[in-house]
Parts: sequence; C-alpha cells; structure tokens
Amino acid sequence: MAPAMKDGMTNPATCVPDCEIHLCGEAIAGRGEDSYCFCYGEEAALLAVFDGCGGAGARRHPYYSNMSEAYMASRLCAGAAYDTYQELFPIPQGGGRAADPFIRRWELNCEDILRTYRPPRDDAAFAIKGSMVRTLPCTAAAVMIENGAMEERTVTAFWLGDSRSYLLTKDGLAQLTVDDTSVYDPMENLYKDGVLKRMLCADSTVQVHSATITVREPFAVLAATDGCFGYLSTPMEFEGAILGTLMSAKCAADWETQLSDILGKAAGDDYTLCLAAYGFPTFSKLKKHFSDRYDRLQKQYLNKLKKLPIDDRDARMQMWNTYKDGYMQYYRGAN
Amino acid sequence: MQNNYGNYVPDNQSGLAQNGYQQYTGMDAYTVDMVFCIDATGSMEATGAGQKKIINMVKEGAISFYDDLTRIMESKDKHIRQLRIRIVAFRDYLADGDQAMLVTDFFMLPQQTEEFVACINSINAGGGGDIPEDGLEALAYAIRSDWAQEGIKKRQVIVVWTDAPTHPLQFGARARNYPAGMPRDLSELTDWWSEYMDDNYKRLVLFAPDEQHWSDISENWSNVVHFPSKAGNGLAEQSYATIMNALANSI
Repeated sequence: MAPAMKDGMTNPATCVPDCEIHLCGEAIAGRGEDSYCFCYGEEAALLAVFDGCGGAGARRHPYYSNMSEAYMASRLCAGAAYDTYQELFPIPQGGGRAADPFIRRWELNCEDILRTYRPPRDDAAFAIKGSMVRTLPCTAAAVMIENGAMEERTVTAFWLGDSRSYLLTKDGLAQLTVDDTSVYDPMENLYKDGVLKRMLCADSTVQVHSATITVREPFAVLAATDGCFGYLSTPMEFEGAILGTLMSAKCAADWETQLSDILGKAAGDDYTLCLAAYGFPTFSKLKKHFSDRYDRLQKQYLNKLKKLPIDDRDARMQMWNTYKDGYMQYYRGAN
Repeated sequence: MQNNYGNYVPDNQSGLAQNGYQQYTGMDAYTVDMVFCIDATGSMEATGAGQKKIINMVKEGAISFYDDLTRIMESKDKHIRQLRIRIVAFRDYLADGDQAMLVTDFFMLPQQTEEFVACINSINAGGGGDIPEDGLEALAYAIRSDWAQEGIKKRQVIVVWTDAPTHPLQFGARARNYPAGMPRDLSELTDWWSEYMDDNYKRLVLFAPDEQHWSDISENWSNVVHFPSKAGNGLAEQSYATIMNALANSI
C-alpha cells in the first residue's frame, strides 16, 4: 500500500518521495512473471520493474517448483537490485553520484545471482534450444533519483528490454528509456509488436543502457512493464490513465487502486508500475499541479480518441505525431 | 501420396498461389500464417514412442498444432483475426523425382479445416534414398510463401518435422525437376530468412535432430525454437507446452 502523504513541507535534503504508488497485477494468479524493487532513503531512491520474458523463458523446471525461468528471472534481478541498494548506501561523504557505481554493482550482482540459480544442465527442459530460448531472461527498467543543487534532482534511468521508465511533469509524460526492440518508434511498437533484441539473462554478461537528466521539482518518475502500456492503443492513453486516476483519487492509496483497476482491465499480461513524486507538500497540491495538463490532454487527445473507430490507425498516428515531440524529448539522447 | 489428393500439387505446378483472406478489422488481433514442412520419407514410417509410427505422430501433431496454439493464445488474451496454414511435404529430389516436394496453397482456418485435415492425412511416408533429405529446399519453399500483407500484427510461423539431417542445398540439382532459383548454399538461405521474412513476424520451430544443417540453423538464425529429436518423437508433454508457450508469448 502507498504510504500516507506527508503533511506540510517537502524535504529536498532527502530522496524520500512525497508520494509513491506501486502496483503489480498478475494475468494468472500466482504465476505472475513481473517483479519490482522500490527503495528510498536519504541519498537516493530506486524504483525498478522487471518483466520475466514469458516466450524466451518459458522453460519450467522442478528445480523452481515447476515455475518458469521467466518467473524466476524477474524476482532474482529485483532481489539483486534490493541487495545492491542495501550494499551501497549509505555512501561515504563526497562519494559523488551514486547511480553509476550502483549500476555497475547491480549488473555484477545480477550476473552472479542468475548464474547461481541457473537450472542444472541435465534438466529435461534444457532439451529445448534455439535463438528464441534464453536462460532466466527478463527485462528491466529502473530509475534512481539523487539530490542535486537547490531544488534539482538527478534522475538516472537504466534499462534493458522493452520495459519503460518515464518523467512526468506539467508538460506531460516523457519516456526516458529506448525500447530494445526491432521497432524504434514507441507508438509503432504498440502496433507492430517488435521483437525484443536485448534482455537480462544467464547466457551473457549483463550490461544495461543508462541516461541521466537533471530535473527541477516538482515532478514524478515512474517505471512500468509492458503490461501497463502495451495494451493501450496510444501512449497518450497511458498518460491519460495515470492523470485521470490521479484527478479522481482521494489519496495516494486510492490513486494506486484506481490506476491498478484501469490498467488491469486493459492488460492481457502481468502489469507492474512504480511511481515516485517529488516537490508536492500535499496530495491535493499534486493533483492541482497536474490538473491543467490533464485538461489539455483530454481536449487535445483523449476526447478525440474515445470517438475514433478501433481500427482507425491513421488518425491515431496523426495525433501521435503531435504528441511525440514532448514524449520523445529524451528518447534519442539515451545510449 | 497422390499428386492430386486434397490440395496437393507438385511444387512446380503450384505457382505459390494462395487463397483469398478476410479483411482485417481489428488493431489488436493477429494475422497468423503457418507453413508446416513435413518429412514424408520412408524412415518416418519407423515406430516411435508409444509404438506409434513417427509419421502418424507428426500428422496428429500438425493437426493439433494450430488448435493448441490458438487456444493458448486466446488464454493470453491474444486474438487471431485470420489464420492460414500451408503444407510442404518433402523427400529427396534425386531419389524421388516428382514426389520429392509437394506443396499446397494456404488453407484458411477454420473454414477449410476439413480440407486441411484430409491433406495432412494424405501424406504417406516413403522413398527418401539416403539418410539426409532435402529439408533445406522445403524450408526455402516455406520462406518464399505468399505471406499475408494485411493487418498490423502479423506472425509468420514455419514448423519443420523431420527425423533426418539435410543434404546441402543443390545436392539434388541434377534431378530433372530440381527447381530453378533455389539458394546456392546455407548462407544464401540464411539471407532469405532475413530478406523474405519480417524480423518482427517470423518464427521457426524445429522438431528435428541436432544434425546437419538443423543445428546450424538453430544456433545462427534468429527467432528459432528447436526441440532436437526425430520429428518430435519423445517430446514430453511439458516440453511441448514449453514450445507452445514460447511461441504464444512471443506472438
């Protein structure tokens, strides 16, 4: 459950978010292949989501109580993120930005844990091979928030695969990650269902992409698996789901419930989302800050989208072409 | 096998024509084309697990494959707008002449289920000559299928059942009916896999021994699931479910 919103002033000296929500829904109860890690403290906050690749990691093993490698992989990598956070913080004073050493250490921890839990080679499931099959595969999208000068925060996104992280400001939603798929454009990817090009797995070294930006408060960051956004017909509707539920929510816990309901109804897959907001002394100020943006989003996109026939892809692409300037402002800068 | 049974025609008469297909109307549903490449040589008459002939197990597998895949996809909320299946039955050009490669047009399912099942059941194992077969030529035919162009979400799935390694391409070039335009070698066929099939849509499922050239394909081609076996013989229920899950989740 989301904690109650702190009352009064925010504390820019810490990285404890003013509001956080996280939701994790399963397509099949008890078989969900997503996982997440949410840690925060004085020096840094970490939100990370992991999506076990159900296709590449479909092999099941008695060794895992007959669960799939995808199920195991997301949990192992989320656990490695949690352990790395505990290992690294607190860091000595003057230690510099924590995101880079965090990423390097987490990559090594992931490699160790995936190797350790690799199923025995004589397991019958290993008979299945081929380039579509991987050992313990999952995607990752994570964001680390650190203190910056004045009311600024340093936000580092790191990822592998097609899970995404985002920055949400009064100017709208912006994707911080670049999908590791055969289709470059995030909207095209929703339709064409591009092939995953890279993922974390036990068959290779773990090396994630990363990108760092500096953001002035107030803002929110979020990380989401493809079950959250992949079943909506446009990225505008994903932003609409986040802001629409925020506008009608009474508190952070209510927002979390409403957003989970709306994404869960659309998703044909597991869905996991973590969100942290900074620079909002109260929940009502958080709502107020985004209300103009939600009004504009409705007028410019959401109301029109509701009236479109389901197969009118051209009209959606036209709207996307207007929307994507803001949404993709960080897209090309990522490595 | 009879040349004119079901929808079969010898490959040099088929012209790779196809049936018409329905207009795509939804954005979240898939247009799925499958090509089943089935080894129809004498060795497939051998008895496999459960005292069944391997060829009969393959026929049962082929008939239930599309049903199993569609069911598992539906369970994952992935809907199929249109499904077509085409069959390529292969042997050995040098040993089997006109019976070496038999291909059908696409069957539209479920509308043409009866014709599809009759066609599968018309396959009789025989011939083949030496141990390796012309499986790569079958794969070449499959790759050059007239894939559906309509729809946004598409899948092009090739499934191969064989108990034998393959000849190199052009091994049967001396045969009178060896088709013109076949790839010169595996390297060119690999290029075809990229050139004629969309990276986003294509999948290759091999129920084939870990021998020449299936192992090369399994290791080097993208989007391949390989169950090393004699045409899937000995495939445990759980392994079959894994393959179906791998396919459905990647669809």
